[in-house]
This record gives sequence, C-alpha cells and structure tokens, in this order.
Amino acid sequence: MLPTIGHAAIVVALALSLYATLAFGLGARRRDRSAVASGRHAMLAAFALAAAASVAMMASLLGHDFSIAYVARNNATTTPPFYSVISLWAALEGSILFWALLLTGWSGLVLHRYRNRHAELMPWVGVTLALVSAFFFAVMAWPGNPFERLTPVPAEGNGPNALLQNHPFMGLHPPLLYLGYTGLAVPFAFGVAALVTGRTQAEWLAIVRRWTVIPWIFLTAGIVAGAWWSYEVLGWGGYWAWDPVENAALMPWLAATAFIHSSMVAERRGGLRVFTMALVVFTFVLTLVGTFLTRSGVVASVHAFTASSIGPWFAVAILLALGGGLGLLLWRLPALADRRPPPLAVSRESAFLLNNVLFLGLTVVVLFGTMLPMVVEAATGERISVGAPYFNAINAPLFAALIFLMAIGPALPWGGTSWSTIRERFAGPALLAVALTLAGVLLGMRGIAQLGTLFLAVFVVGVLGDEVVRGARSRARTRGEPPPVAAWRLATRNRRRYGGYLVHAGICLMAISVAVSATGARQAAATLDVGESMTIGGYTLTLREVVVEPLPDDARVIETRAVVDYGGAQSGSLATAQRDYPSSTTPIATPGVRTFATEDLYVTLLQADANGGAASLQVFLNPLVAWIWVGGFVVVAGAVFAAWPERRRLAMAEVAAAGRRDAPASVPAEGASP
Amino acid sequence: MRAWVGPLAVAAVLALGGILAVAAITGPRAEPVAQTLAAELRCPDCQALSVAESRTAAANAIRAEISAQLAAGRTADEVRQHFVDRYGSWILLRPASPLAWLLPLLAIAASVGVLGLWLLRRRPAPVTEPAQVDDETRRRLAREAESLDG
Repeated sequence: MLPTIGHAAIVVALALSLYATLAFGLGARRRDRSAVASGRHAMLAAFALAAAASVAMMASLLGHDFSIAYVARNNATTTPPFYSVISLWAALEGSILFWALLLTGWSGLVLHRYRNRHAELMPWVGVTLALVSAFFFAVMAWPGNPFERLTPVPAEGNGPNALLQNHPFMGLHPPLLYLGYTGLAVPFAFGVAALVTGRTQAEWLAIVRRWTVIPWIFLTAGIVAGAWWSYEVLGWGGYWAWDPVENAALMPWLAATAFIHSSMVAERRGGLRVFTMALVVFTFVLTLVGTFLTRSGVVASVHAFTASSIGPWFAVAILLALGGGLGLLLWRLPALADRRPPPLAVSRESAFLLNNVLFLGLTVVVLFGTMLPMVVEAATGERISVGAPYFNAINAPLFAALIFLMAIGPALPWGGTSWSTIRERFAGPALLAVALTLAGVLLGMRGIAQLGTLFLAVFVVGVLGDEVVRGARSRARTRGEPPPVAAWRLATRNRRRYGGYLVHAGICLMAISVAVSATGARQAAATLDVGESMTIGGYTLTLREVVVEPLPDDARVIETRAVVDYGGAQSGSLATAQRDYPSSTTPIATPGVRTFATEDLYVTLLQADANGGAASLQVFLNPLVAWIWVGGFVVVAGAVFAAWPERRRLAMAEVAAAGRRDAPASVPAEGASP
Repeated sequence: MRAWVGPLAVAAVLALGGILAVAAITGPRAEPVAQTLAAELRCPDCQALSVAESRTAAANAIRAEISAQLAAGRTADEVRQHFVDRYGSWILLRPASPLAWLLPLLAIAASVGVLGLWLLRRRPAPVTEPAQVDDETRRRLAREAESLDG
C-alpha cells in the first residue's frame, strides 16, 4: 500500500511540475496572472506530494517493508529507528527523493513569498524551478525509482551502509548539505528570469544575493558538519581528504562565495555584471556536477553510491543547464556590458576582482583535479590518482592570498586610495600581526604554514577590528551613544557588512586551526597488553580492558572495545572500538576522541585480541582541531547575522528620523574615518 | 596616526618576512622522508586516503617496505619508482605528469592576464568635482549611503 502511494505521488508530482512549467510559461507570455497562480499552486501540490512520498518511504523504512528494493538494500529488522528514518538519504534513490522534497520546498517557499512582487520575473522563476523539479521527479519515475518492488520479498534486509549508521551526524550532515545544494536552484532561477526578461538591473541582484546567502549558510554548515563527521567516525585522525565527493560539495561553495563577492561590485558599482551572472549559472551547474559525481558511480569514494543508470540523465541535465544558462547570457551580453568599468587602482573593486579570480581559480583547480583521473582513464586507459598532496600544494597559496585580500578588501575605499589611507588602516594591524607572530614563535609554532597563516589571520582580524572600533567611535561621538550600544547599532544597521566581518573572522580562526593541526599533529602506535602504557606528548595511555559484545540497540553488530585510561595535562578514560557489521567485510572504526582547549587526544583501535587482552592502538595528538568547528560556527553565525531580515526597514526608518534632525550625521561608518 | 608608524610597520613586516623565510628553510622538525613518502602514496585498499593516514594491512605493509628500502640506502625517488612499477602510476597521489600541474596554473595565469588586459583597455573613470550640495541632496545622499553600506 505505502509503496503504491509513494510511487503514485511521484508520478503525479512529475505531471504537476510539467503542468506548472507550461502554466508559468503561458502566464509569462500572455501576462496572465491566473495562469501563474495556477502554476504556483501546482508546485505547492508537487511539494506536498514529495512530502507524502518521503513520509511513505520513512514509514516503509521504519516498518522494515522489504518488498521495496531500497528498503531491503538499506535496512534490516534490527536497524534502530533513528537510522531507519535517516536512511531516506543514505543511498541513491532515497536521496533523490529527499532532494526533490527540498527542491520543491524551496520552490514553493520562493514562489509563495514573492507571489505579489516582481510580476515580470516570477513566471520565469517558476518555469525554471518547475523544470528542475520535473527533472528530479522524472529521474525517480524512470531510472531511479525509490519504490521499486522486490520479489520474492526477503525475510531480512542488508542493513544500512555500516559507515553511515555509526554516528548521529548522519542525521545532520546530509540534510544541511542538501538544503544548500537544492537552495542554489533559486538564484539560478532568478538569473534565468532576469536574462529572459532582460530585467538585469539591481532588482534581481538583491533577491539573488539574499537567496544565495541562505543556501550558502546551509552548504557551509553541511561541509563543516561533514568534516566533523569524518573526523569523529573514520578514525584516520583527519577531517578532509580531498575526496571527490568532498570536492563536489566544495565546488559550488567556492562558486557561490565568488558570486556573493562579485555581486557586491555589481550592485554598488555596476561592474562585473556579466561575470556575476555567469557565476550564478556555474554555481547551479556545479551542484548538478556534484550530484552526478556522487550518484552516478563515476568516482570511487566514501560517499559514492552504487553504480547506476542515472549518470546519463544527469550528464544531459548538466549540459542543458550550462548551455541554456550561458546561451541566455550571450544573448543578453550587450545589455549586461559594464556601465562603469572598474578603474585600475588600489581599490576595493580591484580587491573584489582579485578575489573572484582566486575563487574561480580554486574552483577550476578542484574541478580539474577531481575530473582528471576520469578523463585520463577514458582517454588513455591509464589509471592515475590526484590526491591531497596535489590539492594542498596548489590550493594553499591561493587560500593564503584570499585571506590577505580578506584583510585589505573591506578596508580599502571604492574607487581608489592614497598612501596615507593605507598607512592609517593597515600599519597598526600589521604591527600587531608581526608581534603576535613572534609570540607564536616563542610559543613553539614553527614553519611557514603555521606562522604565515597566523600572521595573515591576525592581520585580517586586526584590520576588521579596527574598522569596527572606528565606526563605533564615530557613531558614539555623533550620536552620543555609549560605545557598546553604538557598536551594536552600527552592526545591526549594516548587517551585511558586519556579518561579513564575522564570517571573515571565523574563516581566519579556521585557517589558523587547519594550518596548525595539519602540520603540528603528533602520532604514535603501540600494541599494549592490559595494564601496559604508552606515551605521546605529555600523555600516558594505559590499556585497562578489552571487551567484545554486541551493540545494545542492534545485536547483529559486534563491538570490540578497548578502554584506555589517560593521564597527563588532562586525565580520564576513553573507549575506542571496532564494530563488525554484517553488511561490511571490514570492521568499522569508532575512534575515541577527547577534546581539550588546545588539542585533541584521538585514539583508534587497530586490532584487539580479546582473549589475551591486548590491543593495537594508533594515537594522535591533534592541536587546535576543535577550533575548526568553532570557526565554522562563527562563519555560520556571521552569515545568519548578515542575512537576517528587517535591516532595511529599520535602517530606512532611522535614516528618515535622522534626516529630519541632521542628515550628514547619519552617514555611517564607511565615510566616517577622520 | 603618528608618522613613524608607517615606516616602522614596513620595517617590521620586512623583518617578519626574514623570520618566515628562515622558518621555511630550516623547517620545524623536517618530516622524516618515510613519512613524506607515505603521504604521497595511495593506500591500495582504501578510498582517497594515503598510506600515511591508513592503517589497513596493505598500508602497513607499504609503510614497512618504505622504511626497509630507505634503510637499505635507496633514495626517495627510487622508492617511489619501486611502487609505481608495482602498482602503476595510480599509486601516486601527487600525479607525476607535468600537465596536471601546468594546466590549472596556466588557466589562472591566463585569467589574470585577460583581466589585466581588460582593465588596461578601459579608460579610468572620470573624476568629478564635488558640486555645491543643498540640504535636500544631502539627505538623499545620506539615505543612499545608508542603503549602500554594509
């Protein structure tokens, strides 16, 4: 019953999406508001049907209905309820259903929210979103049917992929990432609408930036959560391996970040508009490329699902989106040509330009490195690898240059600058950065990666902090407000700017932590009998016991656990384990991680002899890793602060009020330097 | 801002450059060759991990082999070649082909070049003198500045 309902819901949703495409198209051509409204209702209904299908799938997973092939492959009678429910996104077909659910959700939200505004743009936004949704429903109706039946019905299923039922973050990382991915269809739809209607002025930019920042927040959180998950689960002591599917998530993030920056130039100075529009197209296409890489089995990776026949479907969709988007862009090129070319000068525009080149360069390097093994193998039959040493070597300098730009970009004036401005804004922070770098040397930091990153990060935070202090002081002086109040009001009335500063500060925190943890980790390995000890850094680890027992919530999984007491700067005990899943030939590591302020003690069990009571342990002492996640929180908080609504209304009300008193005094921070 | 701060900052940054250069040359504890090699070789039975990061049987065997060969006096290049002969160039996480390195760098260099040409081709934006501003315009400017800022 449930699978029939689920499948029917998908087929009807496909029909509704196609109908909505036509209705929006008709509404656009004939300026028929009722056709547009009908299309909107069809999309809302498609969302409801996608939700119904998702609920049907979750219920089937919870009920272990092995007459559905997907459930039989990804569930077992012993799977705990939490992992049953989240298995909706644990494999190919279910994840496409989840994808369609989120995509129609974003579509419905946007179409509903702007139903009475942007009358020219919205029908074409609807056409695009409905067409993209129709594509995903079509994939589920033909090659990737999540409700495909299985006869004869097996008595027991395979259970979920062992790696994916090992940590609760599986409930967090994929939804965040997918919310980001699917949300990026919205800016693409607005981009297409602007190009089709020729309304490429500031109107679409404001909406598109907002609707890029929102998915960007989810994408960022999803990527950080994924790195964290990988660190807590995979047991190799690291969090980023330049795995093809990690790259697939990073590429749209890089392109979207480039867009967020170039759109500011486009909006303020009318420059970079062609480039900005192209970035909207690229970002969306890269989300499809990411899906293609993950879902089609063309790359081998932790995340890659079984090989399937949906590859060609996605290949065609990628070509259509890229060709359609760039075709429209070429068609509108004359209208988009820059009205006011940026002058060649040391200015904020130049910083933005360079920023865009670097972000696009990073995207190209990641795309190139990810695709190269496939291309080489297809062309010559030779199998090659492109891995972490390659990406680190090329990308580290590009990231360093970006961090430098983070310091100077926001502090440079538009248009051009003078030597005295440069001295005034950068000399103090540069001195501070030198001083703290020397302090870093005294604290034991070594090497160009650690010290260079520390210098750049302190420089950035110094410049940004100085900007905030100067703005707040100026506001406190002109308004007579206490400085903290002035700082808060300044920030909440210029959310984009100060939210952006917070994002930059978070990135700096992450950069320092990544540099130090990547180059300063220590490791040791030893085989210990019960009662024996080993040392690493200032810590002494003693094996207390080895236990072998089935998991309490899933008796088919046998856990071999070593309990280790540690003493030193901190003391306590931790458990590190290997789990034998029936669905996996190799045991899955469950590292024991203890997080302290300056370092993580990370213990992986390599092998254990339960009878003799011996265990082989791999121990890592990873400095500052926790601060990477803290930095991620800061980045997300900054972006949320920047995207928070209400700003304009408040700001306009305040300017209006101030205008009645004394207009010049209300000019805020940007022009406020003495 | 005092006049001496600027030159002092320049001097300090130069001094720091020197320190960083020394740091780069001398290195912290220069990683042992075996560790560097292990990080460059792909673990044959994992996904996207290097031999250095992996603890599978194959990775352990390769690490042991690296140490043994280095102890026997082979150079890093010889050890690397040994594994390429055995597993194919697939084993190298750092692809050996110069094209893999040159193409993306060329792409970035080319885009910087195109950007430079595009900027140089344009005339600089005309500089306009500030005109006499009445109160109404001031208020409008203040409003626009507020809405632009951020």
